Amino acid sequence: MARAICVIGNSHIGALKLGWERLKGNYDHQLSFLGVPGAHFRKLAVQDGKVVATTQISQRYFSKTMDTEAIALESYDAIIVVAAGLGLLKTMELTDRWRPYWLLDDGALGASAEFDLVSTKVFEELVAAKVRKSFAHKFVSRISQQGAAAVLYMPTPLPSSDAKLRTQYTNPVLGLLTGAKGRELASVYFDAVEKVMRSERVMRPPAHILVDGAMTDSRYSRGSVRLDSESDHPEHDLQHMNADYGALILEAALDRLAGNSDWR
Amino acid sequence: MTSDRPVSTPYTDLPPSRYWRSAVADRHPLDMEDLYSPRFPIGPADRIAVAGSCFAQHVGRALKASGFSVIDQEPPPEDLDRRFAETYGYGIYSARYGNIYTARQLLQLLKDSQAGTVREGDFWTRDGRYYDALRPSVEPTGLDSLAEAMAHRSKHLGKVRAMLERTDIFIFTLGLTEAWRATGSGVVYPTCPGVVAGQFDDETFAFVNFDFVEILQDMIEVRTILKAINPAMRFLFTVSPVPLAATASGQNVLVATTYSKSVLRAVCGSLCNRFDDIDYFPSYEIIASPSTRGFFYEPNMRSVNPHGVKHVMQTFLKAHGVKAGAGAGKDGKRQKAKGKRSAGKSSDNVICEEALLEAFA
Repeated sequence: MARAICVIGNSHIGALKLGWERLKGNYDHQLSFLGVPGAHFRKLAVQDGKVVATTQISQRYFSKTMDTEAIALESYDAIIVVAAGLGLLKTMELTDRWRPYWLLDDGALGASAEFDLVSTKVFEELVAAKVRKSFAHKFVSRISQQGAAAVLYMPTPLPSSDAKLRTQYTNPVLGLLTGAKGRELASVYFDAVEKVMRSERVMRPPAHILVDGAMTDSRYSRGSVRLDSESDHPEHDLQHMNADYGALILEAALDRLAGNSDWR
Repeated sequence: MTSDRPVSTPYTDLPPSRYWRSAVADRHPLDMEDLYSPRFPIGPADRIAVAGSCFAQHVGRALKASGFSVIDQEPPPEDLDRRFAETYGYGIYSARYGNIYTARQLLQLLKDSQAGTVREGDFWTRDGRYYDALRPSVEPTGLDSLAEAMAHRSKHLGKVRAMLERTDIFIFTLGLTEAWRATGSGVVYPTCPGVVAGQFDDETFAFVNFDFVEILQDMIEVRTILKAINPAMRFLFTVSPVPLAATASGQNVLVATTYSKSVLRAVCGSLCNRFDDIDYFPSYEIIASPSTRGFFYEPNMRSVNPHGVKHVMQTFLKAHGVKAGAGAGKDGKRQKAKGKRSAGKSSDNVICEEALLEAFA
């Protein structure tokens, strides 16, 4: 049965849009894509059952990617929210100060070490608190409160496994993620996202596309696209994924939605 | 033979506050005068460390809300929900040491913090989880391993050390004389083994009911240690008006409570007489005096109700020329906001593992 689905996201939506180009011959669904990159995504509002732009720049992205000024939620059978500014790397910046025991190396155990030690329970709650405060969570909550039949949230992809090729990390969280405890760190993050946004709404990345449970296999990042860039995949970009990733994750999302009783 | 000349005695011309009738019996308990005259001023610039039994939690909160610079050496992560944080021992005292009921417990903490001593025997288990027996309430679900629990304690002791180095005024509420100690190490714990975690075994643990001399000596040693860290440090001691939840002394709990509070009160009096840098604030008297007829207690006749807490703190703040909830400290804006949340706080919010003993009643 054909469904109307609106995919709303930041720069990570590019991979899904290209992925859909490959998939759409297999489905009767109508998919619309609204992409508003970076900080401009936060300028979207959900009011009176519609997603609207509140700034000129975000309005421009509405026109450019969807050729409309607002998204009426009731017009769709499902809304898929992509990334929306919430990601593991940013969230886990809290590890600059707060770390559970299992995330400390032996050298950090002394009382004078730079980290404040927290129990795993407190760490998990802290990560959940960060997710709770995120725009992505508020956006998804408002969409579901204001009439969307079904809402699915796709977290920001985990960084590319190309990160392992690096010897030095400007982002310390990336260093943790590629280290021995990367899998646990990713797990705490996704558990928190599911706890806060409700697990039935959250699409974890499929395990088989991950390396060490903490990074996206670089096959899915090479040749990646971004919403606001016509250029080739920059070598330093470990965050954005390609059309293969988009097709794979979108297919998984459509499968999930097919089993969702909230379909109209 | 009689004389018309008035006899002069030390009681002649005393102010009304020195006579029971005029000071207590004829006055409304909310309107008593001269209950507390500070020995030294405490101002917003003084860095205050707060520790003690459950009742001390109220003291810390009220001081923070009124703009005093109460140290929080182990603050909760900023985004953590306040109630969750408190459940895990954050933001209650000036570091996450939990309730310190006895003078010996305080002395141990100071010694351990100075030496960085972490003893393997001070960790108890329950359902495969590890608990710091010296502050069992700060991790309500325990920790994964002994190594982790010991690492947490080591970190905590470092924080306590840092806290003490910053402290100008040390406020301590004495709560109990009764405790349980390990027969081998002599270490005293805030809870009886088996209540929060661990397992009671009368060969490993023994009941102790400290007497006046022991507590006085402990408190003098506490002062000596703290003075070595900061020779200018001053002290404000109080006695918790919260009766014992249970006693292992073999006496009726009311009798045991009277012993406990009397000894603690007497120690405070003795300390004040000996040292000019020690002051006593009569929170015990304000709450437990016969004049209040128990109306500052909750129906269980044990927990102090919010009116009692408010009155105690108003008395303290008034004596120091501060309006309750004024929030005018160095970090005034933030403290005011916190104070707002604290207003009207129920005594139920106090984290008190001693009350767990009631479950055994």
